[in-house]
Amino acid sequence: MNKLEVHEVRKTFGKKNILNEIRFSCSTGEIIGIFGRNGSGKSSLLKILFGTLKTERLRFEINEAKLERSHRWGSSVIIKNQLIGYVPQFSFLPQSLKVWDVIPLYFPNGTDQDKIFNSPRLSTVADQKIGTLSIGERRYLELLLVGNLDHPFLLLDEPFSMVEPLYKEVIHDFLIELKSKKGIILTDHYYHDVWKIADRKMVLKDGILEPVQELKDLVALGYLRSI
Amino acid sequence: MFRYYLDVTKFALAFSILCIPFLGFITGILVFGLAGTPIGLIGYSQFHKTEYYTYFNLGFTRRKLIISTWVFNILAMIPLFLIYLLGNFLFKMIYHE
Repeated sequence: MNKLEVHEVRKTFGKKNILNEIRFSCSTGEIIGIFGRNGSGKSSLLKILFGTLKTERLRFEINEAKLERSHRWGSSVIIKNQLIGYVPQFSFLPQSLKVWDVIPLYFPNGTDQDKIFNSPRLSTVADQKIGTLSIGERRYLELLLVGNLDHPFLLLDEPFSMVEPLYKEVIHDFLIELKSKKGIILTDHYYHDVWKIADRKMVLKDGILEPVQELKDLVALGYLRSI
Repeated sequence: MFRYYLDVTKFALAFSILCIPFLGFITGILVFGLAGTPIGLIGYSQFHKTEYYTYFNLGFTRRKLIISTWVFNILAMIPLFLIYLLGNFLFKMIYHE
């Protein structure tokens, strides 16, 4: 059982204070859903936790080990120790490679490769180049690759965006299966999908992360106009 | 990691080859080993920037990727020099006899 505890994150862009009071935790077996309007700092928060965005202040722990931002350029402790996996909202797999060439890049071991190749709906696209995959196929492949790595935590930035309903179901099932091994933090504007899958939900507004219990709270916090 | 090396080095190699007609073969090798990597990194940032996240998820920091590539390209100058010397030697042997 692993536990990620975020005590403090502060981030400003120019004079705008994007992240201010950020405190939350995530354990193995949990999916945390974060909602927020465009520009509220959701993606920035995920990048900060992953270690690819600098911040003024960051205090967090993984399994009670204190982690602070690295002062050495390009040397995040999170990345080096593979503590957190991150699927950004943009495509990050080498576009010119075929699916069956990318899998060994992530999993040198034959048994692990077979596990990925045998995942639902993957065999049909195995001979295609990454650049020719549909958004749904690409998102699913990215999730399979990063999700099956050994990180104890996984950050997902818009995993359901622009994905067809059938792939959403496959992604949903994969994440439910995955949470038995990892803690997952995800953010997406497809709030119904996030709401269905998340164990705990929060709204990021004015730099503050507020927990929400019911859909109507999203209206009260100004994320939705109506349900 | 090797994929990253190839993607950076293709730009470094192209730049070095372009330098050879103007600066000569030996300078071309020096350019490849010493200045090629920064040029390659600029090219990589232009065309493959998002792919860094592939390597980050695999535990390679940006620092490690860049230093490894640069060291490998500096070391690659040695066999390139040897190939040049061997080629020079064979050329002289064939055409001076």
